[in-house]
Amino acid sequence: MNTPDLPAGIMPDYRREIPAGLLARQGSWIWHEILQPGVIRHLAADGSTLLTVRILLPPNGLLSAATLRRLAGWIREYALTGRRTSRQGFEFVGVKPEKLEKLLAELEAAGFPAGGTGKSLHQVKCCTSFVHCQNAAVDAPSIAKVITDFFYRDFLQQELPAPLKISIGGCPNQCGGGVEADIGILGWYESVPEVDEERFLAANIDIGLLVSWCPTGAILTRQVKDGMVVSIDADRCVRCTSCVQVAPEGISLKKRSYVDIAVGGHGGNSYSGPEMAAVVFTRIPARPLEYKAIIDRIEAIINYWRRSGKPGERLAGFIERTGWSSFLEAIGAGGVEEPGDKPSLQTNFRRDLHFRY
Amino acid sequence: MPEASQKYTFCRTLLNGPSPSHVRELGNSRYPLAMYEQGLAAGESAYDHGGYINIPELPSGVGVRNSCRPEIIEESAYLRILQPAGGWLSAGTLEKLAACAETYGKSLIHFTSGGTIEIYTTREQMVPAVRELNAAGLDVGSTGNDLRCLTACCGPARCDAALIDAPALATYLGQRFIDEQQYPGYPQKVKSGVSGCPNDCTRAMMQKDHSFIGVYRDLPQINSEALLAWQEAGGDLKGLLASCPTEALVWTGSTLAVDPQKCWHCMVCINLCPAIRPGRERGVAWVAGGKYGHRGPQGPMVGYVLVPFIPIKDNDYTTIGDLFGAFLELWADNAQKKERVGDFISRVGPLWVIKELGLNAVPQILISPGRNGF
Repeated sequence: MNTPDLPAGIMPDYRREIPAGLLARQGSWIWHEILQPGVIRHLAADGSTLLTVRILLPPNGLLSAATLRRLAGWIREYALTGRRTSRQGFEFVGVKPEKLEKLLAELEAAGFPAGGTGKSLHQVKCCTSFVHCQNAAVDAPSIAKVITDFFYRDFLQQELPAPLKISIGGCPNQCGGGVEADIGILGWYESVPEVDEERFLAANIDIGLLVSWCPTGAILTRQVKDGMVVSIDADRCVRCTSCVQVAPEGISLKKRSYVDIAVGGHGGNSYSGPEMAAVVFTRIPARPLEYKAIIDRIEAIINYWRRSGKPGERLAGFIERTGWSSFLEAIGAGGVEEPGDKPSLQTNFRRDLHFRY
Repeated sequence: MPEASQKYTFCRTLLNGPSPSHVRELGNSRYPLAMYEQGLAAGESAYDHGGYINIPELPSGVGVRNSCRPEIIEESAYLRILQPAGGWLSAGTLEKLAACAETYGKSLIHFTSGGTIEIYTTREQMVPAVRELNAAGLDVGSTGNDLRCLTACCGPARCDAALIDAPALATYLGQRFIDEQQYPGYPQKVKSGVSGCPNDCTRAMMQKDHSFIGVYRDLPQINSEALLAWQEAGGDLKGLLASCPTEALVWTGSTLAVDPQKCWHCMVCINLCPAIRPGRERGVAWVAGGKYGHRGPQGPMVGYVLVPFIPIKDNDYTTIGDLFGAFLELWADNAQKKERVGDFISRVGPLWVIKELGLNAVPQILISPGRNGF
């Protein structure tokens, strides 16, 4: 056999994906402006320009081969190259200005509209959930689809105070990044994992790892006749599902689930630095396609911010200016008991006297 | 639309609405839609615990999901493909991915939230699929306890804010540490990302165990002529002055200056005004320990700044690569099993890491000196 060894050890070079002409202009860009929702124009020092068109992709970056070929076809016809964004969207880079209108019309007709730039709803990022994952508590892609449908106009126009990014993670692993977004949706299991002692004993489980990986020390070991079994302290358990990952044979989840909604997560280092989102609504039911309770709450958050936010003010900055107490009241979030931390992790309770009422 | 998706109530509902539907994409592929319908109807996933599988030729980049409904599908295997840094994908690469998914997979591609590309396939098709990907200049990796695919923002090829060539640094690290991406041998996964400027559009500081963020050390450069032109075109000077989080922008009545004592080198004024450009003394800040997941003692966290400024000269990334490699070794030697970098640094302390790596701890990495004598 004369086939090369695997793995082949290839880290693809991104320069191969960019035509030489565009690569040669690398670093010459000095400014950019958004011409219309979804269309960005970069300006170079020498006065030349570069057009980018950003489109909406289906939730979770799931694309059939046929759609991939259409994206490739649009690049060949209208642009220099393309890129998938870090939010699972897609951009055509180097769009020919004379063909811009035709491209936008074709994209709209094909159901992949341009938008999601500047002060709009950006692509909703989510994890794969029930499409291809066993750990998901809720189905993030269908929540993303329903949210995008409901706030569709905000994807196409730039009339929010500032950019709005929504991310959805179906389980505590948060592959979808619900912890980081302006509005994050976080899937949780309702009850603590259950141990099936018979199956636990039958499987060869790394008990050391099981105990050490539990972040709260909730796994208690007990010697029985046939070996070592564990039980889970329900008061300590934070339902992170680490134990289920270590011992899927003996520990399982009762599949009752809900979502939390968190606000004010942001990356970037401009103001207070990157911050995780803060949970404002807990235990919102999220049975597949019955998402009205989620939509209502997101709408309350967006409407309040839309009404009272200053231009350019992200959700986090808006809340910092107006204060949490009035924000929670305006969006109809309940008392402190639910959003308060568990006893072991009191990091968000006030330690100064800067009260705002 | 194949009629298959019409008989599924939940899936059919998800075809409606103005925004693009993932079910339409699934329906146009050979993905077993009955599995998704089953999950939606039951309110729980029809997939079961699987994991990363070992195919002798492919130590990483391959995985499988087991099925709770073997009558629909026995198991679902997938290949994880290392993505060109910055997400750059030419028409040719997209077509090759499509061809590979059609021939060896289920005609479906998945852009993951972590910055890789997946093709759903079967165990038998994996080796031939990887050979085809290799011929197209692509490869698999980034699963299990290994170094995950190096990701980056779009970089200076398209962006006016990029301070460093982020995808070039990611590609350099990816090529230098390719074995670490293809042979899992670490205590836990370790994700890495590069962002071109402190705007950190890829949120590397939060999502990635290691992030290298482009920073500048001198002051923002103000072009007085361009500023005048900007003001005449309606630029809001008052708003610009007020926007600075440290009140470092000083307007004397005719010229704009930056107070070097106050400026903390963010991007606010640069983002707002075309007459202000980032400083010229550039390098990267090294941040370690970010993660999204609610696993480990710390849960989701933003990383710790280990080194605020590593200069980059003439696109030479060797120093960064050396430090990165030294850290990975230190972590692999000292971390507990399944301990992410963030939990590890929280346990041993950033100062211990800095000392072990032979680096100097500088005051910039502290918000304040310690307030607890213990």
